[in-house]
Amino acid sequence: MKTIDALGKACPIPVIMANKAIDGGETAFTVLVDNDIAVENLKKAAGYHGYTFASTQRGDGNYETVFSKDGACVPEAPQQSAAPAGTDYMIFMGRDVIGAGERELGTNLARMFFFSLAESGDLPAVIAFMNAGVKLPTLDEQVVESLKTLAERGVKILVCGACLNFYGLTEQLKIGEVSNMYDIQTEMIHASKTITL
Amino acid sequence: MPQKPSRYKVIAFENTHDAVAAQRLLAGAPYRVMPTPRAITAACGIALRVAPSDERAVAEKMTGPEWQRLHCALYQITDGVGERIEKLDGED
Repeated sequence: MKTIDALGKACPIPVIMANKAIDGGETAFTVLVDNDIAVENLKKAAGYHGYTFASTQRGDGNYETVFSKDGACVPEAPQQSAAPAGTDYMIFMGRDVIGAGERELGTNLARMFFFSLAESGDLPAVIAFMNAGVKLPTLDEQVVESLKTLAERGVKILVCGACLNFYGLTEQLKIGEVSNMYDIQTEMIHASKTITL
Repeated sequence: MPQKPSRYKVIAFENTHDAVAAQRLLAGAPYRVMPTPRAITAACGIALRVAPSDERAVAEKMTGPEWQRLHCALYQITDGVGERIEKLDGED
């Protein structure tokens, strides 16, 4: 069985190495990694591609993860029904509610969205707020709390400075960095996808 | 990986209008709006999550005839498993 040495490789390299083996048609192989986050990411990748996955921690603290796919062994369904998202997607919030319709409902949907995003395993690289969207990282306590969690987990939060100024909210920014059209546009162009709410 | 608190209470509603009305009645109380956990199927999509330390403050506001008219139930969520503790409205 082929062994891929991904020791010392930072995320997402181990997953990329595993994906290469999968693309190359390997039906059984081992990936060596040195941290449990890599194990979790490899597990997701295995589920996504329909491989069975097993991991054991060796005496030296490193992990040996085994991918296998054979006819006799029906792969278990992945734990998450959705495919793992990329780590370079972006969320653009151009308003302080989700969707068009009753404001009270839209506010609830926005709070629920950021609440569950903060608990999600598939985080965006960037969240950008523009126009009335800037009311969320300033005035909405619950969304601010979720954004703080997201920021702690490494998500970049960009808030349009001109918009803060327009609404008189510059002094009330609770989380995120004051940004501008150039930076937000650059992030959009480089993101694998931008989800606009 | 996300660190999910393993135990908390959720107020789940039969319909979204009650979920929105409840928030007006709970104004100022410490709760968070969340998508109803998947473990609770007999409820609408909007739920209110209450941390153990905030249960008393929220319970104090869950009184009066207006609250009685809402159709909701209290659930204990433990490691993603939901258990209905009590029905909160006055009707069946």
